[in-house]
Amino acid sequence: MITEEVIAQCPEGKEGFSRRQFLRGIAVFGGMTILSANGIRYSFAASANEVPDVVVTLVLRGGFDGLSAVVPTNENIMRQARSQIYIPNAALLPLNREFGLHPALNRLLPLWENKELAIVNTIGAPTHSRSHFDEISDVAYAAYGEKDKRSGWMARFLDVSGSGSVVQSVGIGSTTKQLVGGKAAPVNVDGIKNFRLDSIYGYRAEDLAGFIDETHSRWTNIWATQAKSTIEALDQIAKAGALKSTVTYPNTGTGQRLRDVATLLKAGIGVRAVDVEFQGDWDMHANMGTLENGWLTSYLADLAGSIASFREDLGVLWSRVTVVTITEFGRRVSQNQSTGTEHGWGTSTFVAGGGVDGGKIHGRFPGLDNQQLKDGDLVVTADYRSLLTEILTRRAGVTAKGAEQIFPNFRPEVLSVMKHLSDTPLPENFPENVKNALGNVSYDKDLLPTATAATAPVVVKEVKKKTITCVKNGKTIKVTGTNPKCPTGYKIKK
Amino acid sequence: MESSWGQGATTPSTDPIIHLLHRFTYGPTKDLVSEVSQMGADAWFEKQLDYLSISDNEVNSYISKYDIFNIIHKDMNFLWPVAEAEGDINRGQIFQSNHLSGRVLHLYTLINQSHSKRQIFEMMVEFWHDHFNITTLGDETKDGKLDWHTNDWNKRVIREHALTRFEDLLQATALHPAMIVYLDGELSSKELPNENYGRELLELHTVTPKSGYTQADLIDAARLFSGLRVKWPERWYQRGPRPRPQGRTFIDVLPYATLLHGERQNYGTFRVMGWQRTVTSVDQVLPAIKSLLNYLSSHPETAKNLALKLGRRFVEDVPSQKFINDISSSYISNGGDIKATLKAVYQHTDFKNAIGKKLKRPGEDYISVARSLNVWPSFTRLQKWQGMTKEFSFPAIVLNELAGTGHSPLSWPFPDGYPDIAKSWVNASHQLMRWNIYGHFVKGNTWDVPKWESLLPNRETNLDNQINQVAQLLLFKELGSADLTSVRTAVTKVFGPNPDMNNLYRDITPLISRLIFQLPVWSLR
Repeated sequence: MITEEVIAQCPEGKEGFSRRQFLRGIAVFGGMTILSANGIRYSFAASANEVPDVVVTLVLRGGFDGLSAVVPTNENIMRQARSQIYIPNAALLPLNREFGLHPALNRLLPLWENKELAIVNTIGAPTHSRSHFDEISDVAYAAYGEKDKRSGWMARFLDVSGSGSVVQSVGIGSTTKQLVGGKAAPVNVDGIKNFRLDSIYGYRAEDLAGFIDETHSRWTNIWATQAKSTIEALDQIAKAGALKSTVTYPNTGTGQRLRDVATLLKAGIGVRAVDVEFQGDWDMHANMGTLENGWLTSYLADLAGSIASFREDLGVLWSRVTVVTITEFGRRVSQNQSTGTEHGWGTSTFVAGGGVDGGKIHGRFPGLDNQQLKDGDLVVTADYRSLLTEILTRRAGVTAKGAEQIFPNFRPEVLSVMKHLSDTPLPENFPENVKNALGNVSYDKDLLPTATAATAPVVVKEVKKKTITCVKNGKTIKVTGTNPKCPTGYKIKK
Repeated sequence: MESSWGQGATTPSTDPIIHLLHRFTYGPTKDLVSEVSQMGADAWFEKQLDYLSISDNEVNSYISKYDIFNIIHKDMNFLWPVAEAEGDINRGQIFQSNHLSGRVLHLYTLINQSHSKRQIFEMMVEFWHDHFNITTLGDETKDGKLDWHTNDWNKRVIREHALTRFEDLLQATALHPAMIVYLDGELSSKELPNENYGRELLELHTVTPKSGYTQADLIDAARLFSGLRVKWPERWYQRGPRPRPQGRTFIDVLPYATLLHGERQNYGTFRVMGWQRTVTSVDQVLPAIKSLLNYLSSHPETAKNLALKLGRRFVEDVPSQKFINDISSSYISNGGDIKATLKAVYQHTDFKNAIGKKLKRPGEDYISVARSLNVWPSFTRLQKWQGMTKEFSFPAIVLNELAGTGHSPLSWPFPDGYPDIAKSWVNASHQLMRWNIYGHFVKGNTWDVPKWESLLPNRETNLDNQINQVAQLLLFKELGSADLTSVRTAVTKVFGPNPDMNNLYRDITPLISRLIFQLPVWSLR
């Protein structure tokens, strides 16, 4: 039977947030989006002495169920909460005594064993709204408490640490989908190939580029300035596209997107940040599938395979890359009646790369007992901004002061998931072109965030709404609001 | 947006008629410029406002040539049987998943923008679509439910009210099923009024946060609208795509497929800013809604909001405070009359002084090229949609290439409408897409092949003359000396120092045209 409630489960925002605002001034071409620096120049300090990481965020849109990926070995509780979808201990790939990896993630195991992959529990946003639209946009803006949410944290990161490169960041995924108008155009996952200027009537593309450069240099305005950057980007991306990868990626949108990213990074054109959206929706309200196959299993295999291939493809460059998964929220601990799960809060996060303190589960798991949950959800014990702050400050050359600009109104805690840049020397065979393109950052441990309370409670801001339960003649309803009151005839249930 | 240029660059035309047509139409054309020159700018403006007196035969006969437009502007009660007749009984896939009605609406929009004689009207249709944004294509967040309503929205809300009074338009938007679906009115209940519409009504459609409204104002607005529901076709309730609403009291909210659901409606005293009303029975709800919308539409902050947005659309990215004050006073003193307000914009000194201060958005760039070359979308390809047996002649590629620029018609995914300032549209891949599209146009890849011989007055055999002739067609002035040299050099690079203008006419002319579109001056409107 279809009830209005079932239909209303996921009303908003499966794709409702513009990655555009996240990357700011974004751009769509085929399956790729390119952000131009547009004149941002940054003079590096004289003491500059470290090559920074490229930060790659892999966005798992829809709400990633950490409990199905990094599974607690407390089988009794898991079976009770998820009788149809729990994963028996016997099937898990052991990580430590308390957790095992979903078997479909087996391609991540070598990274884990090489200590290039860490897991962080239990990550999330400071708000607990369970709304796709609110959460994914807020997660990308990462400016809680700020009124003007026009730029995402990644754009602010580039402002703070601008590399001077034309192509500073690349976004691949729903930007395209959003701005190309949903299903109107096929998402072209082979984006690099399409970033080119057409020749016309025998007038070659490079001549046309020269014509554009020449005629636009007679003008001064933002369009003309952009034209010069675009011409430069064309050149750089063409160079990148000429490099062919021999690594086999999963034949999925995500796999192909990461292949494009690897190509761009190998080309050494100065990309400092990449936002890749996993192709597919993790919002598994129903029919998650079985251990052997189905929605969840195929997605996890794609996730693991794509990351593993990316790592293989990058080779020595991997030492200067950090990949982090990002999602809007985890999922409810208990399953629902449709072999799926509802929107929750905290979740497990994967961090992979050359600078990760890997082979470990970091953070604090809040526990699965009822009294340890919040409205049935895993509690967030570490704000995702703390993790990002650590990646940006320990790996990407951002200082504590810079981090304050990137994440306003926020005091990060130190999670120690990342190694300091200065403790991971650049491999001797690191390619010169990439090294030059990434530039140097001045790296001073004293300028990094120092708040150390590893067990500090997450400051929950902006939780404007409360939910109360009201009863009347055995009928129960929930009321949510800033100051919720039971309707006439109902009494509050305490 | 400020620009400056050096010696020899081609600069924007300073002709006030060209300026007027750049801003209040989708681009000056040869014919339009001579029409306005003959009748005078003021008279032309007046006539444009009286848009129903302008016949649009050319567009209408074009539209009537193609089967696919049978579904244009149809509501769900028409569309659903179409889906059923196609054997698509599975929840109307062709509309919900293929977004067919949205695509047809987009094409219809492009055809009207490029060829309708009612140019100011078309500009305002787009303006109001942005102001009261609903996403007309691919809004998957609504599971395709919105697709059933977007055509009716375009016709009976936006087009019908685009040049009336703002209050009438606001009321139509508030009561139409498209807005109810888009801003989650369907999810609203008595106990849990969904705040989305209440918020956007205050924040975007009318008074804006500058007015200082509070969360309590917003919640009372949301509560007042909590009873509005879509009246889905009876067959849907029978077949199950939509659950039948439970309750006893339903009032039809005519003329739309909207219901007021008495049991989901909130009652009592509602206070929104300075407005207050007590509603005790279901028949008092609509009068209360109308009263609130009347209050909001005549609020000074609403006037300023509209003045700002009209200024951004027609004058410059950051309109002056004086402009905002002048236009909002004019809006108030004319009772929110849209035509009178537009006229005040046109007559304002800031408008006259704003030559070259607006960057074309990608959609405007696209349409202005089509207008200059007087071409129509090319219907040479057949398209078959999943779930449909029949093939249609449909230029899907037109919509796809425009989508690539980030500016599909009427498709912004958020309630605030497409941005209307230059910096939102300046980035590498959008720019590159636009450049390549100039090539598609001059070659006739996606729209018809331009008829150069009839566009250009003379059959020139001198290259420089031909270049200047094309410049005159596209820019209504000659090229700057340095740009002329650049274009000449480019052409001779391909065709040699003394090209045979007769034999190569159809190669050289499109190349010249492509290069002129490429100049920075073309990017301005």
